[in-house]
Amino acid sequence: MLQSVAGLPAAERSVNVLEISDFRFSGGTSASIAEEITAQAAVGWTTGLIQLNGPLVAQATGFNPRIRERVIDGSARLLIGRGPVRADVTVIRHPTVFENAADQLPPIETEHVVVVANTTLIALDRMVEYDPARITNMVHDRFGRAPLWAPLSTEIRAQLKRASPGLDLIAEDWVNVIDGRDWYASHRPPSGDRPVIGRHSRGVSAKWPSTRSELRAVYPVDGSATVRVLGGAAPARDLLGHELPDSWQVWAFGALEPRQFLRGLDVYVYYPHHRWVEAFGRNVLEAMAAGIPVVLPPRFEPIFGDGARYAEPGAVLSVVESLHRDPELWQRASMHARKRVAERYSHQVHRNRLQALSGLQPRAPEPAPPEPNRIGRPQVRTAAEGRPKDRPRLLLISSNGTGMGHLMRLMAYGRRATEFEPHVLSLSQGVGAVGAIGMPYEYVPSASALGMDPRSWQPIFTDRVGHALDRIRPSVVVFDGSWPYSGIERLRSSHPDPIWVWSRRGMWMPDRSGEQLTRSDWFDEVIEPGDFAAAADVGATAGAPAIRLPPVTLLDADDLLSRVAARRKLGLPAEGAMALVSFSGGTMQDVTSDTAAAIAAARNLGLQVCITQSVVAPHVALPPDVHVVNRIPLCSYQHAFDVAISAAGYNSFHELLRFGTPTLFIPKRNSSLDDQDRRARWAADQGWSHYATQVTADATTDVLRDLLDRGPEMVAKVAREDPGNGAVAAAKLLTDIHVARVLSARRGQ
Amino acid sequence: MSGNDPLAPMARLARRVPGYPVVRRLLLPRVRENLTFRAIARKLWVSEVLPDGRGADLTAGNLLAGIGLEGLPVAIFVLADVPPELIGEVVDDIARIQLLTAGFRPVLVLPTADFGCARRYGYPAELMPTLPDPPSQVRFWRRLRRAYGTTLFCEVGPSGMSVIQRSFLLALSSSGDA
Repeated sequence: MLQSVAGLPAAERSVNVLEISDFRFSGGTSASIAEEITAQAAVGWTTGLIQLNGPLVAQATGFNPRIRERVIDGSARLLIGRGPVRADVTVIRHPTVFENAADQLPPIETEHVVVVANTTLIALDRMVEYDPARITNMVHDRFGRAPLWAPLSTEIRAQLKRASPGLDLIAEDWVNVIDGRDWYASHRPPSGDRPVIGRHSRGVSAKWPSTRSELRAVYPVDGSATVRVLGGAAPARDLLGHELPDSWQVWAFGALEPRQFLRGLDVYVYYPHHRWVEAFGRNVLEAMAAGIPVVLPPRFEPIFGDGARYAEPGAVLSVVESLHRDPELWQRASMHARKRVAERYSHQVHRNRLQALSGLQPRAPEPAPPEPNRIGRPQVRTAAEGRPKDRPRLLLISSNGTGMGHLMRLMAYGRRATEFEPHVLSLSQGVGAVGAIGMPYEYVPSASALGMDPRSWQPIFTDRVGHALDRIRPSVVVFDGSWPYSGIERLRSSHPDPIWVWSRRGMWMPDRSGEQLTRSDWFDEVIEPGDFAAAADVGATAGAPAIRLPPVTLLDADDLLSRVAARRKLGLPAEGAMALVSFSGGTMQDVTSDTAAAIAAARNLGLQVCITQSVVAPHVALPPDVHVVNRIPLCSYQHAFDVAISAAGYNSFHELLRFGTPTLFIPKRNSSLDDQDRRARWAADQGWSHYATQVTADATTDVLRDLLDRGPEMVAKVAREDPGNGAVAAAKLLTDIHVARVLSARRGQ
Repeated sequence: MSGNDPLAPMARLARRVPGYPVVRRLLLPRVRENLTFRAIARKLWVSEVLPDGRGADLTAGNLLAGIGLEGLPVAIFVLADVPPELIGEVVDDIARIQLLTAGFRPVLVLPTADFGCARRYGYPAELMPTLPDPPSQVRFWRRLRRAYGTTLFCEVGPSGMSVIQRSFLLALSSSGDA
């Protein structure tokens, strides 16, 4: 009977697979352990982790994030303390760590011990990194059985044989494994003027070519190719003896998620120091899994076989150029790489070798325990978890704006884009409205909400949206706002997979320069939700390229409540004529005087008054007989009102006219971009509604009287001219461009 | 260490000395555990982390290793409301998060004088005194805050740390996101 010394019941210190290593390593060692944990959890095998603070990590640091995630999500148990541990199989990864830190281990009872020789035995400076014979003895003393040595590659196997001829070596190399489905993203063949070459490794000299001439041959410095480096390039700079050229883009190790980095590459080219013996090259495997053609020195051929292309340094560029020139060749290389990954390096390969070693049988994953937040408690993540559901994801990003227009348009798209799973990310504090229609949403504070300078705020926006992109993995992103933030360009670069669409309303003030229209280049498509008053649009967008849609409203006529139902739900009197007064989003002017005059005018005619108190409007003190509504979307209840006095923002304007409420439009004064005045005047010119620049009690009384008399006739004109809700067309467009992208990717495979 | 570390040029030179890898693997880990070395290290580097040096001497316990432990923020965990039978489990929970993140140095404030749970991981512990009135409560916490240079405070509830508390501690990780 095992005793619980570290507080966990003994049963929780009994696992199928026990991994022993230093989980703080930043590179391939930890990435490989994380993959193996996932592979094990998918068939219900429990994994325990015992940390050894080895001599190779000098800085006090936490676990590698990939392993930490596995512990947090319950795929692995972190076993601490000196309590005994039991395991079917114990996998020791990194012999040097074990050799120097085995005294930190608790008592372990196990059926099988595998020492994964994942590093070269001989370092670049010819120093012997570890002593296999000594480690074998240590394992025997500690576990009571001899270990099986598992080299990562033929090169390491040969080194082990030379160093200790009597070692018990596993028959097949213990190759690194990877879940190709997590890494692959549909790529298009190279389309730029020059190839984009990339590489990913720690920034140490062993991982870079050994001479300047070799470096220049493999990673051009003359601008003939863009060179992207993840992991730092100090050794390259030292070799060149000068700063890196502009054609190089360098990120520090860990600055980008490798998946994101790989998606921006045409060809992966990895040439380490000629004397450096790469035990395996997990970075190469990741590139292959991502579907990036790989070019390597010929000495890698025993590891990656025909999954990569091999060339001496002098011939690298011609291989790269041929891949860049010939889309079919590129596609074949990409497909071949992925195929080899699936055959030789899949999670199943790992499960097969553990099964062969120990007889472990796959079993149904255990249900999650009742306390999922307890770190280190057993939970089994199924293979399906963490993956997108069946429908592709649609991320809808709105700017804050001064009203709800941006958000409402996105909700309109999301509501009708039934082929997608929509998710809203908004800078508007009215984002709670999204939840009312059952869509998931999140809020990112805008620069103004934080009182920050926009330039200081941009990194916050980029970080938060980048995180949302990583988490949601959308196929399509729609941004609705009049000024795409600078962070979007960076996000496009770091997340090139989704299709990006700018939903850009028209009717800009004619004195605005429209310089932000140059940012259209950041998007795959620009759509313009139409305006009833488009004929009067003289702003910068009027002639700008865009796919123009009919006017967009969140709801259709069928969605609105009847007059009786609407009044009942709003708690309004069932009888009597009622005027809606709505200056929502009135943060840009003093709405108080307009509201007071509108109330007085309505009273002059014996009308009851209901005013909106939008979530984004300031509080206005009101007389006690005035009704207040703050429902969103208000247009659901629009039939409760006989007439309206309203600002002429995009949303209110189109909802009031489309759903037949006779209206006096009062354009917002000092609007920053939206030309409400021109919109409202145009509608009045058509005889669809009335228009005034300010509200006075006397003049408004006359207008309201006219609306009560002729209103139905006026709004009937609108119904005849309405081309229908543009949200339907937008949803279809989003579906079409997504399908086109998918088909294009399939054709390329 | 900062980018202005006065020892950085020496460290670069040392890395070029023949036999440095042996020294790094076999000798340095032992040197790092040496109290005298740590005291010197504190004088050299810690002033960048804690302006007045308070808390620099506080141990991080026995789970973490490496340079920079002196600079980790000190987190006070008040376990006064945790039932005695759950305290060991809560401390294990704290320990696992500390090992995962290397993000903090815990100080436990325990309701009873059963310090075994703290000793298991080498964590400093205080006993929660009876604090009859607000002034005495303020004095107690001020004393702890000044003694340890505490910047984090976590009051653990009767059923252990909340999801938010645990997530916040995990967010202190020194090794970024996956």
